[in-house]
Amino acid sequence: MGTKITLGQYLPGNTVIHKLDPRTKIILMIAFIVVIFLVKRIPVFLIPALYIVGTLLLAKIPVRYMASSLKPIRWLLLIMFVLNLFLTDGDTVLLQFWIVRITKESLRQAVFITLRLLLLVAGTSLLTLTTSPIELTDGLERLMSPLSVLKFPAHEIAMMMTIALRFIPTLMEEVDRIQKAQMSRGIDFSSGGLISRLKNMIPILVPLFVSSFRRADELAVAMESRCYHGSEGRTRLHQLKMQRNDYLAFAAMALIAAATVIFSRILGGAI
Amino acid sequence: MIQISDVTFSYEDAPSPALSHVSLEIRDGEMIAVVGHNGSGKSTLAKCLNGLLLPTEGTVSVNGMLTSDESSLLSIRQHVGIVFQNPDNQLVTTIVEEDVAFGPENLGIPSDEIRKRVDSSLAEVGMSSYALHSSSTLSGGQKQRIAIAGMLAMQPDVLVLDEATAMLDPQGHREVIDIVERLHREKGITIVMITQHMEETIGCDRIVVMGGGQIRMQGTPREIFRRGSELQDLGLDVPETVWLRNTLTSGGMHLEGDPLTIEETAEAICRSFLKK
Amino acid sequence: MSIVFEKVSHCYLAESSLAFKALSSVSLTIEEGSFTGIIGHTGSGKSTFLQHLNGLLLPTEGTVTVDGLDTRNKAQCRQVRSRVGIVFQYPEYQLFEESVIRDVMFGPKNMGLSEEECRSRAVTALEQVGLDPEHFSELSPFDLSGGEKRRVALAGVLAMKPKYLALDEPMAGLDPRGRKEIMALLERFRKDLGCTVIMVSHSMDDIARCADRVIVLDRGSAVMQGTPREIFSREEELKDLSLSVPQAVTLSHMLIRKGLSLPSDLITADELASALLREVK
Repeated sequence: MGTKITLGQYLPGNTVIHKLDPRTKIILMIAFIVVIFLVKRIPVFLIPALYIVGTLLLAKIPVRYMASSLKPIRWLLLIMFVLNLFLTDGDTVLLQFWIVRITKESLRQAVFITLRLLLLVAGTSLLTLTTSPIELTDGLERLMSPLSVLKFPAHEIAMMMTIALRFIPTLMEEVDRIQKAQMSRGIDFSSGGLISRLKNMIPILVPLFVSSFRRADELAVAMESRCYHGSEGRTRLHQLKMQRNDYLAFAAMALIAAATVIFSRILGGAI
Repeated sequence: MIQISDVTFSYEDAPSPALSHVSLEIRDGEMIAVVGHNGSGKSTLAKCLNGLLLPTEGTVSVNGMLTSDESSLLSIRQHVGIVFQNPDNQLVTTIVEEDVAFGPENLGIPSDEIRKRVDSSLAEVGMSSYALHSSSTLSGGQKQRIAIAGMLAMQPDVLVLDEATAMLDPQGHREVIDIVERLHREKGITIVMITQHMEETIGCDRIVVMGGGQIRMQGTPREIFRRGSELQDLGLDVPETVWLRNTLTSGGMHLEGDPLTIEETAEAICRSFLKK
Repeated sequence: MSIVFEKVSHCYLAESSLAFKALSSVSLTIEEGSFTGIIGHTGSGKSTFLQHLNGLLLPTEGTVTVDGLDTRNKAQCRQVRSRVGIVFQYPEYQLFEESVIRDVMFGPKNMGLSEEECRSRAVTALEQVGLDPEHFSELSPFDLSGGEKRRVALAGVLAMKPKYLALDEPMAGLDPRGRKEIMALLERFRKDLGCTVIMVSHSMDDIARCADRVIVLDRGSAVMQGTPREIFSREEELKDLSLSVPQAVTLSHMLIRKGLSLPSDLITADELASALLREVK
């Protein structure tokens, strides 16, 4: 059981942001990625950064929570920084010893790339932080539904995701139960080499597969007797409806994108 | 009304048919128990009631619609709801109210009507306050109540419980049975209870005893429990009160009035002592 | 020799804000040769308790010792695992080998026994659960009926020759005949093999019929301990814990209230019937 803060784990809430249509939030996330790539100068990163802070405030998620949820990627950020610092060419040497050569340009590049990555991860995790997996599935299904004209199985994919989400806790319990049963039969999961550890997985995996198939079979029967017959003629309890706030959010994002482009222009030149 | 006429069903590669020449009529508003040992064909029978399985021979008709007619299947399944044994394997979505909505959604009911049905169905099973909970945090009994609510949201006339209490603890068991009995009493829903718990059958109008894919006995609980030794031969038991009554009677005590429930039994024993 | 719980507490997620105390200061002794019934409603800590018997879970406070072996000691815990066999709920879902015999041999093999020894133990265990080894050995466990699968799983634990056999709802989901068979098996293990049996059950009738000791758990504490007669005479207290008593107890109490002179400690239908018939004569 994990009690650590996971990156982008849904934090239930009842704020304006939580209540936005999931489709809006998915589109905003894509727009945000575009904005990040529109940034050409380091100071302009301030705009997406403010966007993130603003969203967090509106969603009543402590900035500290976001910060600590980014901890798992700190090594990745560091590696990106160091690689760019050492491997970018430049003219204005700041520091040089042995084969290491740090230039003004490489320092800028390193800061730029690291910031971009950091903001990218933070910004995209806003979506999953404020949208429950179910809403997300719903939103994706509806965004993709025009594709079903091209025989793209949008509904089926969404239904699969729904069922997967529903069964994750059930299967986790199952694994725990099987594992304990086999431990009671003397199997030792904690010692032995790689091969024997892999071999020890068999007594867990086989029962898990067998029971998953049984569950799948029973679920299919249950779904069938509840009149499930694909997406045809299917209605939904929660209808997704774009509301004023959704349009407001789009407008805000458009402004942010415009501001990003303009400021990048004004500051001009290289990064 | 469900009419099962001379139904035989064989699973693929099974040496003998799971059901052979079964005929049964389930009347509107009836509460009927189907009992039988494991593998007696009772679950197969349940799955024939709403066209999940189609008989190899014979027919099943629900309110005049044949389950073999594919165009009536949705309508049949809307009329006949089944709650299955494993609470974990019949809920489709994570959030309780969305799961209850699953049936009506498939039927293409408009959203605001689904909303009403979900709310009233959850109230019916006493789970309204759990509407937004995740089903994985619920107990087995609560999950089964959600499953029942999911059926009620389709507004069925027949509710089939396919060993729906077998995996529950006594508390969950009681909760489910209480709800089912109330639905029968107050809403007049026809109940088909498939079970191995003989105690559950005491309150039913009729008991159908299955064995080896056939109907072996049929009758009111009193009639059936009088034939205790035949039940035992079919791998079944009589409720403990009936066992006690039989033992006392064969030991020379005279008990009047065919008692079934605990209260009736206590009453009968006392009367027998007073007479002495 | 016995299993001794001394002030055992177990806290899940002890360091987090979600900390949950599933057992609190449980002290009890399970004597060798006894048949102990564990009752308590769902969430009372029964399953946590059971997992402490062979060190699957370790006490966060207090000690559990099996014949003097401490489960917290890693080396001793290995011995404990072979002394205490646990049969979990729906054990048939732990079968995984391609043949019945190989599945039953799995436990003994993990104990490091020779192939022949494992095989002979497996054959004996299959006989003990009433499955003919000749017929069943080479079948796939997945082709058996539900009741047979359960007995194979039971044999898998028996083949480790445990001194103590703990079972969680061993009869759940079986039909009346299957229930009776498993019940009879447990009685036999105890009589013929001298196995100490610890059974978690929701069925008060089953407990009344076979247990000679009952432990009642509620919210992680062992709130009552005693013989079935002692425990089931406290009908009101059990009701407060949302537990029931065997039907025979309810009925005999009803009769006593109606003025019949019956002993107040009848707990099975058999006892009630013979007491009533004695009264008549």
